[in-house]
Order: sequence, then structure tokens, then C-alpha cells
Amino acid sequence: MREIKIKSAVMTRIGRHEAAYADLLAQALNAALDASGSSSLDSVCLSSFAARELCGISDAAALVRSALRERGVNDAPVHGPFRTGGEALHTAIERCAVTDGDVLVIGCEKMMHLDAGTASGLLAPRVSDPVENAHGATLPALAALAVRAYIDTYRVPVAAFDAVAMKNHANAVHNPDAQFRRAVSAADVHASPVVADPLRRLHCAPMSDGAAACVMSAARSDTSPLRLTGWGYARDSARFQDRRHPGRFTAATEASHLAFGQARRRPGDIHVVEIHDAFAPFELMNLEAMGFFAYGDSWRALAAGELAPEGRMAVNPSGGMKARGHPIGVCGLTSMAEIQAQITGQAGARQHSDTRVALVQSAGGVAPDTYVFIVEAR
Amino acid sequence: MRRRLEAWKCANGHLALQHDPVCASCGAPLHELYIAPEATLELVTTVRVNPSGEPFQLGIAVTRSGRARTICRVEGAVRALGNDRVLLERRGDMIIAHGRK
Repeated sequence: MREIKIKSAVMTRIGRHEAAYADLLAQALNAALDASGSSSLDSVCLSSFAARELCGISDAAALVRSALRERGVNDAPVHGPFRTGGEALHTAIERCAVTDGDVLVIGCEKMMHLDAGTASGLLAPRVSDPVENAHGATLPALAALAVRAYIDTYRVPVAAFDAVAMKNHANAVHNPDAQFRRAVSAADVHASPVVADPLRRLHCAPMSDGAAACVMSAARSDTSPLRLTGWGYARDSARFQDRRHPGRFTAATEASHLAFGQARRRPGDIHVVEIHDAFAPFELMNLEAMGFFAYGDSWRALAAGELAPEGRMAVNPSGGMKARGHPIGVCGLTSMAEIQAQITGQAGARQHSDTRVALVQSAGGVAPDTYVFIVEAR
Repeated sequence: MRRRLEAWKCANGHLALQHDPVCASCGAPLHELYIAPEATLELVTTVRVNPSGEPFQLGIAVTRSGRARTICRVEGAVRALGNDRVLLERRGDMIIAHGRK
């Protein structure tokens, strides 16, 4: 197995951007290539969930090629657009297996020029199965059903979900690139309107604009400080009703099992986790699915402060999708940027001490597709 | 109200209320049959923010005959404790779960 290095991982500020989609994409692309020192590329893997639906862009790959031309980089083939950053990263890994050249992974999304109702209407056919769509099932509605199953099975108090939102907002205060740099209290969460019970607005990740990119290489000569040591992908039923355990993310279990096995690591070896928290309870559900805690137990560790940046294992120190922001197709890449900052000791006030081994999870929607990556210091 | 419900079953015994080209569980061919509409409502949520602007109840029900699991709109009173007995009805593309009065 060839060792894959991460030469750079960068992100733009997440939040409202007046810049056009193409400009935002070029901003991340140039920052990643500047940081890696790459002057030629083997290929590009592009991630963008809804450029067509939300921005009317039918060929986002053409915008990547245009940005490469402007920079004077070779006309590398562009794969995608993929739906999640994880999917693009996974494809880039496959590419690295057969080339010594640099592979650019880039994600971009622009959502905030639309109001939430319009955007969710445009996105609905993309995020749920046609049968669920016919029933009016929005993504928060399906998430609420999964959370309801989790509560019913494991007797987790709803207050634990408030605590996830509070922790992630507290982390984002120290992240200059985060969308929400303000703390929230339990009272704030309770005062926010119900979206689909038991989920309130402050349990849900926002719509966001943003871009992120990283450059990967399997060249032996590369001495970058980060290396990918394990990865895995698994899929659960796309139709929520067909899941055997609606309150469990079995794809996260299988994907993490593959990644841990390849990296020869166990959950106890991980210092920092960037995990799918599009809905606050998902953070706990994913931690448990990946074996960090027994089912129904992670909220106790959260309450004890073990998941804070200064705790035993920092979970979403960037603020996560919940507070750092949620440009859908970019999220696995923003997580990678945070892990680079953590491992190289550049995370400022949200720095977890002694980060050498980290885990990134990238999933879409109610986690039917899950990608897990283990990243280690060289 | 107790009209029997159109369903589809494969040779491996998987039952579904949606007419997919093949069985979603195993890929085997499906044949049509009719089952009793009684079901148990396992999960329910009230969707307050949605494109229609009108709150509605969405749930997951399991038929008592054949244990087919289906997404459904919920109408009428339910206790939402995971064991409400409901009657399923097909309305266009939707399955409606009627709570007991």
C-alpha cells in the first residue's frame, strides 16, 4: 500500500459570501496550491452537492479547469462533481494509488443567496428517496425520525443534544473561519423554534457558502507532515424506512471498522475527531456507531467535558457543521482543514494538546453513505 | 376504512408497500398481493418547517401482516409512544396512517 500524504488542506471562511461561485472556488484552489507548492496536477476531484440546483451551474468542472488555466497549471482531468467531500477524497485516494502526481480535491457550495424554504424545496429531490419525497419528508424530518428511534432505544435525554450544540458553538467562537462565532446557552436552544420534533433550529446545521481544498500525493519524496493511514466507505439503505436499526448509523460502523483496521488503530488511539453533526444528536450517534462509546453512553462523556478541545478527545473542535457551517458538498474537506490545523499545532485557542492521530467522518443526509479517514502526524 | 392494502412480496418473503422494480432487500422479482391494513406506528414526528408551510405528522409504521415497514403521513390522534395501532390507507403516492379515534 502506497503512503498517501496530505500536502495542504485549506478552507475559506464559511458563511455568506458575496463572491460568485467561480470566485469562491478559485479562492480555495489557489490557497491549496500556494500552500502545497504544487505547480502541476495529475487530476482534480471536485465536490459540490447542488451547484446546478442552487446556482444554476451545469458544469462546475469547467470552472475548475478555468481556474487552473488562469493560474497556469496544466489542464488536469476533473472528476466529479461528487456529492460529499468524503466521496471526492475517496476518489482522490484511488487516484493516488496509481500516480506520483499531486491530486487536488476541491469542494465549493453557495447556498445563502436563497431563503431556507426555497433551498430546501430545491434540495428535497436530492436528499431523500422518491418514495419519501412523495410523503413530504424533508431532511430534518427524516433526521428527527432517526433521533426519535435513538431516544426510544437508548433513553438519551434531549438535553444531551442541547449540550452538543452548546459545545460546538463554544468551539466555533475560537475559529476565525466559522459561520457562527457566538456561544449559545441551553435557554437559547430551547427558545429556538421546533423544526421537526425533537429537533429545534439550534440543533440543525445552517445553510452556508464556502469552499475548501486539499492536495494529496503518494510520491515517496514527499515529506508533508500529514499522512492518511486508513480509510473506509460503507452504505446503508438510501430509503430510511428500510433500515434495520433506524436509530443507528450502521454505515458509520462499517466504514470506521475498515479505516481502523487499515490504520491498525483503535478508537482509543484517536485524539481529535471531526464528525458528521448536521443535526446535533448525530454527533453522539456517530461517535457510538464508530465504537468510541457504547450505544447511549456518549452523552455522559460530553457532560463530563471529555469531548471539549481540552478534554480527552476533542470532537468537532472547529465547531462542526453545526457552528463552523455547512456548505453541504464541502464538509469533509473543511474537516480535513481543521485536522491539518490541529496536527500542525495551528488551531489557536481550540487546539487539542498533543494531536497525533485524528479521524474525519464525511456523510451525507441521514448518513446513508459514510466515509471515514484516519489522519496521522508523520 | 378496513380496505385491504396493495403490497408487493418477493420469493424470499420480503414485503413492501412500495412498488419497486425489484425487491429493495434482495433484488428478487416481486409479485402483488393484498394485506390487512392494521399496523403499528413505531416512530412519529411533527414536521413544522417544510416547503408547504403547514405542519404535518410523518411516521414509520410496520404492518401487522408481514411486518412491512413504511414511511407514512399520520392523521388523527396518536400517542407517539412507539406502539400506536393505526390503519393504513393508500392515497395517491402516499401511505396514510389513521390513528384510532
